[in-house]
Amino acid sequence: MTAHILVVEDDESFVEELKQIIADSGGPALPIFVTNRDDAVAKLESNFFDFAILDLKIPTALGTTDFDPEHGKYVFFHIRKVSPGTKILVLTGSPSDDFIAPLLVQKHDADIWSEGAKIDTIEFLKKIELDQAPEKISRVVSAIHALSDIELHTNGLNLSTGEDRLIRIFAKHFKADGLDGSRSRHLGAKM
Amino acid sequence: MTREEALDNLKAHSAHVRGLAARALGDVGRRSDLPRLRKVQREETVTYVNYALQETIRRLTHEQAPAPSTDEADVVSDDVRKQIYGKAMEWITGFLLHEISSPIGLVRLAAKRELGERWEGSGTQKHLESVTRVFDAIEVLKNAASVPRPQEFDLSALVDELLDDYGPEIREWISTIGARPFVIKSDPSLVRMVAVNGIRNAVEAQQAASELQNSHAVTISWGDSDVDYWLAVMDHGAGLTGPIETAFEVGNSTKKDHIGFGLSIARQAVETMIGSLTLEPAKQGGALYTARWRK
Repeated sequence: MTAHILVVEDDESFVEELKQIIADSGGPALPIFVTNRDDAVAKLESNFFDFAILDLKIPTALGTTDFDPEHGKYVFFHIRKVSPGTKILVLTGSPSDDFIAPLLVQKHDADIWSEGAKIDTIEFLKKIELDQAPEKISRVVSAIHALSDIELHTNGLNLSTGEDRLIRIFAKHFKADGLDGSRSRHLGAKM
Repeated sequence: MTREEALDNLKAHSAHVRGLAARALGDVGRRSDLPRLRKVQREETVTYVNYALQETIRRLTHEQAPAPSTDEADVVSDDVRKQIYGKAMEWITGFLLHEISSPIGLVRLAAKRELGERWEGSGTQKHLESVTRVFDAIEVLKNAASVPRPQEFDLSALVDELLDDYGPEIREWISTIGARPFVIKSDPSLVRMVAVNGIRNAVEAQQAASELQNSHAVTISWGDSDVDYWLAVMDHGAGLTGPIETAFEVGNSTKKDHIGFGLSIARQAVETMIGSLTLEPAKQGGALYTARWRK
């Protein structure tokens, strides 16, 4: 199961490192990289994302220099609005900055990919601790990859990535709860 | 209040008026007033007025003789100067955290990847972790300079919480004096920075002292006056050596493995709350750490 990842980062050095980290994450992943607010919003309108890695201090559009954490915050709340199930990893210079507080309010625990344990839906990572990023990203990619354990017979039905993901998560949840397969089969999932 | 009025009010019957005069002289006083201020301070019996006089004496003692100004508008009060300093501190620490710490993160990542199994215990890891500790301290310093968010909380409970970090073998020689509960309206995170530093310094000074500890080896007290709150920590350690003011400068520490941000953070936090932090020799040896901040 391929992890769909949106990376919003304008710093070329960070982009290169994140590419490498995602490539080494131990599972299939399809990252899309954007450098600014408008491109991030456009991608969110047209694509499904399991996971977003978000730098807050970004410009509004390609080629502009109006870097401001407000633009990253805008993308953050847009993700929460259009794709509330997408886990977000916020990269920041200082998690105690004033603009972080309203983001923290959105933070809660959930078992997003039916791993049997709750995880943070929103995480913060200080850029100086970027060496912790491989572990955090790898954990997400592995959790999504583990959804491949659920065999899904669509019988020709063309499901979107989001619908496919939802059925597998739902089926895995029942499997984790120890229920028999009959109920899952009604959903079209075979375990 | 003019300098003349303030000097005159030092003789007032009302402690409140004497306190206001002592504070005003911190701004309008001159170095030439120091002998008179020292004499008044020796005779002052009201604690908070005495503290205000000490602070004013400290300020005037360390104040550079100002260059003759050609511009009347060049006169900036001490409070305004502290606010400007706080703003500058917030800006520069923010700049360091956002622009300098990011490339260091890249260095950490690349070093860990390139060293592989040799990363653990390597000199690179050790030194990069020192750099990270400095940036953690810079972040606290930045928070110490940020706009206060006052709320009501119990200062005595905060002190108790901080003391919970110490084992019973240490707690037995720390005593506390102050009203319980003592509900104040201040920024609890800034007050925490002030208290945690005073307590830690006193405990470490006491641990380093060779003499046997008694139940009052370290005393933490708190209270308020009509204009401000105060918190004091007194120890009976080796006391202070050398010029005290340099201890407040960023990066200055005599202790091994200390990065020397503690007193700078505490002073910045108390100045953000419009107050002052002093460190002075205690009367019976050791040191007295006193923070006062406006109500």
